[in-house]
Amino acid sequence: MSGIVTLVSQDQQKIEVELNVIRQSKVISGMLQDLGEDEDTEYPIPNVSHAILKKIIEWCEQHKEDAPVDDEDPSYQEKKRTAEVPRWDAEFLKVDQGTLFEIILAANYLDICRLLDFACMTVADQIRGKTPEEIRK
Amino acid sequence: MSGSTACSYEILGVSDLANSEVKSNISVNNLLVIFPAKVNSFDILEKLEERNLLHIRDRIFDLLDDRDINNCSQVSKSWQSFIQTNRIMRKKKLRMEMGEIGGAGHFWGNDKNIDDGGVRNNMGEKDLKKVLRLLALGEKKINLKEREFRAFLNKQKRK
Repeated sequence: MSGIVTLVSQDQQKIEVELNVIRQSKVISGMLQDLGEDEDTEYPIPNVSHAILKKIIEWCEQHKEDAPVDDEDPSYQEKKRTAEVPRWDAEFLKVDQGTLFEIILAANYLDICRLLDFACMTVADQIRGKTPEEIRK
Repeated sequence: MSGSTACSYEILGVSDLANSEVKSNISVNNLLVIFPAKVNSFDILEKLEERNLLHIRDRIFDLLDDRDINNCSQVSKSWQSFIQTNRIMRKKKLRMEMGEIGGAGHFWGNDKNIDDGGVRNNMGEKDLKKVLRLLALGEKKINLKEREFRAFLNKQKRK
C-alpha cells in the first residue's frame, strides 16, 4: 500500500493525497476505516469543489504533524476564546468572503475541527472592535 | 411610496411597510434602531443561517465579547435576531456550566450551612467571570457573597 488515496470532488475531479495528510479529517478517516485503505478505491467528497478541496489539502499538509484536538474538552474550548490564529493560518485564510465561507462549509463537512476554529476566529477577528457601520462594509 | 428619493435606508420611506418596519425595529433598550437594507459585503453569518449551520454561527459569536455582540445586534435585522437567539443559548450554556451552586456564589437552589459560610465559600476568578457574563446576558437569579466578592475586588486592585 503506497499510503496515497484518491479523493473525487463535487465536480468529479480526482486529487491524490497522502493518507497521513488527510487523516486530519475525521470524516475521511472514518471512510478509510469503513471502505478500507485501498489505493484503487476512490473516495467521493460530493459537497466540496475541486478548488476548495485543494485548499483543504494544502492546510492539512501544513498541519499533518499536529496532535489531534478534542473539541469537547473544556480546556480546549476556553483556550480557543483567547487564542490567536497562527500566522501561517491567518495568511492561508486571507481570502475573499465567498472562499472563506466555502472553507468553513468544507471544514464542517469534513470535520476538521482546528481548521473550522481558525476560520471562525478569522470571521470573529473581522468583526471585533468595529462599529455596526464598519461591520456592514 | 411614489416619487420618494432612493436612499440606503429602506425604512426612511413613509409607506405602510416602512412604518411597520420602524415599529419592529424598536428593540434594543427601547431605542429606535434603524437598520439599512442589508450588509453590504458577502454576509457569512446570514449564509450560515440560510444553511441552518447555527452551531458555526454561534461558534463565531462565542469568540466575541459583549461589546462586539452589542455592535453586531445593530448591524441588521437578521443579525439582531441571531444575537437574541444566541444570548438565550449562551445563558443556558453558562447556567448549565455553573450548576445550581456555582463556585462564585451563583445559585438558584437553597444554600445550606449559612453559619459556616455555606457551601459557596470560594470565588475563583474564572467562575466570577462566568457570573458576570451571566449578568450581562440578563440573568437575574444570582447571589454574590459580599465578603468573597470584596476580597476578590481588593485582590484585583492590588494587581
